[in-house]
Amino acid sequence: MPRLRACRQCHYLTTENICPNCGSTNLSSSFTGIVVILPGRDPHEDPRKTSYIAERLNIDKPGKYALKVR
Amino acid sequence: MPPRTSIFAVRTTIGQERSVTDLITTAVIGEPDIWECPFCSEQFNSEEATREHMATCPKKKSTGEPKLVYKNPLLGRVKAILVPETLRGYVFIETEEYRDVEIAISGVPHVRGRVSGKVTKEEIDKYLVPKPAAEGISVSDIVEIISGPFKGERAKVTRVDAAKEELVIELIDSPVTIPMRIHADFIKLVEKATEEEVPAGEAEEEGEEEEESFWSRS
Ligand SMILES: [Zn+2]
Repeated sequence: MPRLRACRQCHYLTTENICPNCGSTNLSSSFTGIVVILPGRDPHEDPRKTSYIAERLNIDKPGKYALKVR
Repeated sequence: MPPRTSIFAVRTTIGQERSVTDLITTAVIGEPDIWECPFCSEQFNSEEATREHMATCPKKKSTGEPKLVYKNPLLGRVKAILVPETLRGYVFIETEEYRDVEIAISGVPHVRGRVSGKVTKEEIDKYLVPKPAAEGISVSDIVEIISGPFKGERAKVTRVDAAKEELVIELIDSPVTIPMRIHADFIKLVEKATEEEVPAGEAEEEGEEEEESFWSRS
């Protein structure tokens, strides 16, 4: 299985070499904690409006993120 | 307006926190709603797609409405899943209400139960804004290395670089003292230094962290 890495810019978790969320190539295989922000019934809704965790972490798109990236 | 959701804690088998998270994620997003064309019974994942099809359906009749065959009970109700990993064996789920948690975890392997009551915002904030790994560790403390070639070895802290989360340590059972730099994530505190052991001027201010958590409260 390809290794999961975290984007140092936006914390998005990916197996690609470029972050599909923000386009950064600054990826780290050293991260701890995972946050999954789930989409709403309207996939374009801003999760920060409906989720405390998304609001607190300022995550504006659903997806799987690392909590802490080194 | 702050989101009107609640956060609940679920206990998992230690080491299976991520797999539980993935399975709950699949339960929420892996099963889309199913809508059916009233004329030809062809199925779609949204009302809009069904209506679009109905306009050109070969069996089109004058009247008919898209039929909702299956509605995912969790989509839009489970908002987020948090695995702090600093707390082994627990996964946090943010949902509209408690019932959503029960549906989300039903049948998921490695779920060992749920913690009754809601998790407070203050409690969850502790995990959302992680403290620097070196916090709470000071010079002369005894630590254990938990990862890498020296895993299991005990060492004495000789310097704390809190900002970089790095420590300089010396292995205790080594015949020669070799200082080594190590990331604070790779050690765990075994023993706090006693007062006398802390060299003058290097004692750090420490509000003794209370490790009490929401599930230990009555
Ligand atoms: Zn990114």
